[in-house]
Formats: sequence, C-alpha cells, structure tokens
Amino acid sequence: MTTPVREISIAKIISDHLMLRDSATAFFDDIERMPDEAVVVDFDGVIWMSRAFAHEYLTRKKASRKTIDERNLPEDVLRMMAVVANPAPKKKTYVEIDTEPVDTG
Amino acid sequence: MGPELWYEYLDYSRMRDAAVRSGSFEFAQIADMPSAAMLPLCMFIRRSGIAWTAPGNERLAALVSGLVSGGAEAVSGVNTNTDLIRLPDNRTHQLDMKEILHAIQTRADLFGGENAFTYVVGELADNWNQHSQSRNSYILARGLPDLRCSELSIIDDGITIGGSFRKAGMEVENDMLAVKRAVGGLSSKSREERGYGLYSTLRILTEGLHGTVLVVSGGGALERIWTSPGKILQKTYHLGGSICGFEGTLVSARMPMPAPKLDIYDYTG
Repeated sequence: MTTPVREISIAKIISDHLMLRDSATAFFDDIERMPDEAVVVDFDGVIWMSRAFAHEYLTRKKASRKTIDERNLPEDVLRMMAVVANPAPKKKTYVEIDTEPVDTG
Repeated sequence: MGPELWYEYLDYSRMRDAAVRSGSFEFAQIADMPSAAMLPLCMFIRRSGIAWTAPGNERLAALVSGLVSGGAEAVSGVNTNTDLIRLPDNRTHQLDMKEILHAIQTRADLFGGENAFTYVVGELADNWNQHSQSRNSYILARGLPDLRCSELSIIDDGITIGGSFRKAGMEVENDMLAVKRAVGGLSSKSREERGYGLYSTLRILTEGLHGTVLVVSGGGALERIWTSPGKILQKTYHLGGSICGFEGTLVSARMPMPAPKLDIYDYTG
C-alpha cells in the first residue's frame, strides 16, 4: 500500500506573489493539519517569493515530520530559496561619519 | 552629497512646531513637499486634529488629503495611477500583497526593475506586518521627473523599532541604537538567520540603486547615503524627547532617475 500524496497549488491557495512571512506560517499550519504524510507543493503560476516567505517556508519544511516536496519551481523562487538556505554573513558596507550621533534633544 | 533627507525631516519638525503654535497648517502656498517631510507632517496633523488648508497643487493635494483624512477610498484599492497606498488595518496572513503591488507596480522601472521594487516593497511591508502594530500605515512610491529622482517611503504609527525590540525582551539602550542595529541585521526574533529584511533593503536602495535612505523611529534616526561607487556613508541621530522624535517609524528613500538595473541577489545576503 502506497502512502497517499496530496498535491497543493500554492499560487491558488495564497497568491502568485508569495510575500508575507505570516502567509507561509498559515500555509504550513494548514499542511500540518492535513492527514496526509506526504505533500507536493506545486509552484506553477508563482511569480515572486519574498526572502521572508522563503525563510519561513524552508524553516517550517525542515521542522515538519511530513515529506514535503516541490515541483514547478520558477527560477527566481529557486534563487531566493538558495540565498536563504546559504545566507552570506551580514557585513558592514558603509562608512560611519561623525560616529558620535547628533543629539537633537 | 550631504544628509539631505535628514534636513527635509528636520523641516517637518519645524513645520509641526509652527502648526502647534498657530493651531493650523497652511499647505496653500506649498507647491510640493518631499516625502520625508510630508508623510510625518500629515500623520501628525491627522493625529492632532490641527486645522489645515489644502495645497493648490492637485497632485500634492490628493496625497495630503489622503494622508490627513485617512480615507482609504482616496488612496487604496487597485488603482495603478495612485502614488499612495494605505496598508490595511487588519494585519493578517490574508493580506493580499498582490493588490498592493498592482497598485504601484507601474512604477517599478523607477526603482531598478520589477524584482528590485517587489523585493523592497515586500520586505518593508513584511517588517511592518511583523513588528509595527500600527493603525495607520502608508506606502508612497512616486517619480519626480523634474528633480530627476524617485521616492519610496513607508510610514506607520506603530510601536517603533526600539519598542519592538523591547517588547521581545531585548535590551536596547536607546532608540538610535535600536535603529542602527535593525538596519545592521539584528532581529527582534533573536535568531541569526533573521534580520535580513531591512539590512538587504538598505543595501539595495543605496549600493544597488545609488540612493539615500532615512530611517526615523521613535527617538532615533539614521541616514545612509550613496556618494560614489564603493562609497556609502551612514550617520545616526539621537532625537531623544525633542520635537524631532516620531511616534512610529518612517523609512524614506530617494533614488536618482533613471535607476540602474540590478540583480537583487547580489544584495540579499
């Protein structure tokens, strides 16, 4: 007997622009409530995934006991997920001028 | 290049002081006003109930009346001609960013293309959604071709960046340090992999689009200025309890026009 796999169109459930972290949180809350042990998330139709959404998506996927796979991942979504999965260290790219802050009080 | 947005924000505090003294504010003689002054001034007029007269300039009048009245009907909805978007009060995961993006996406070319614009607006809106707890919030995106620049701003009357850190139980000595740490990548969620939103947004706006960004939140402010390739300056301001303080958070950016096209993944961390 094979384990049933549920397919979900994320563009239809949320939007073709996956923007807010809270949207990803709610999306995974719904997945966790499903009886299925395996879920395939279909990204067909998705135009954009924000960094915040990508971070929450990958964090929740890693924490889930379910098997969650993706298909039809657009190039931009793949790049954003790659950035989030391997974040560069934050760096200082500016020069501070007059390091004593101006006090207007 | 100097801290131009900071001086424009200082104009706001002077105008606010004058309005408090006289009990009213006259927009009538003002042809236009930079976002860093107009947004906080209108939020203040709305909150205080001070009398005001409408600007003669039609475009400015539409912005001012939308901001002061808070009338969503004047500024929200999927109207691709509008410069100003009122963010909804009901912050839930149901918020359809596509509606907001459609309303301002016609301006993407002003801000380094659709990817850059969507990234910046999305991260600013997500920060607002996650942290601000505000009741009144707006995004303003407009081109100022006569000045060969564009402006992108988000303003809210929420708990401020420092307030968000403190609410999360994090110690911050003052609001200036809170702003500085937030744009440097510290998150109130206390996790190293968080805090990239404001950090990468400021990198895109300055390193990528060669712009200037002012962040004012509570009693702290910071301006980051692109001056030449590879040279970006940052200056911080203690506003304390002075009239320069702001009850909420303002992120205001100005970019030269035309904006360079850029690959956002060079800046997203």
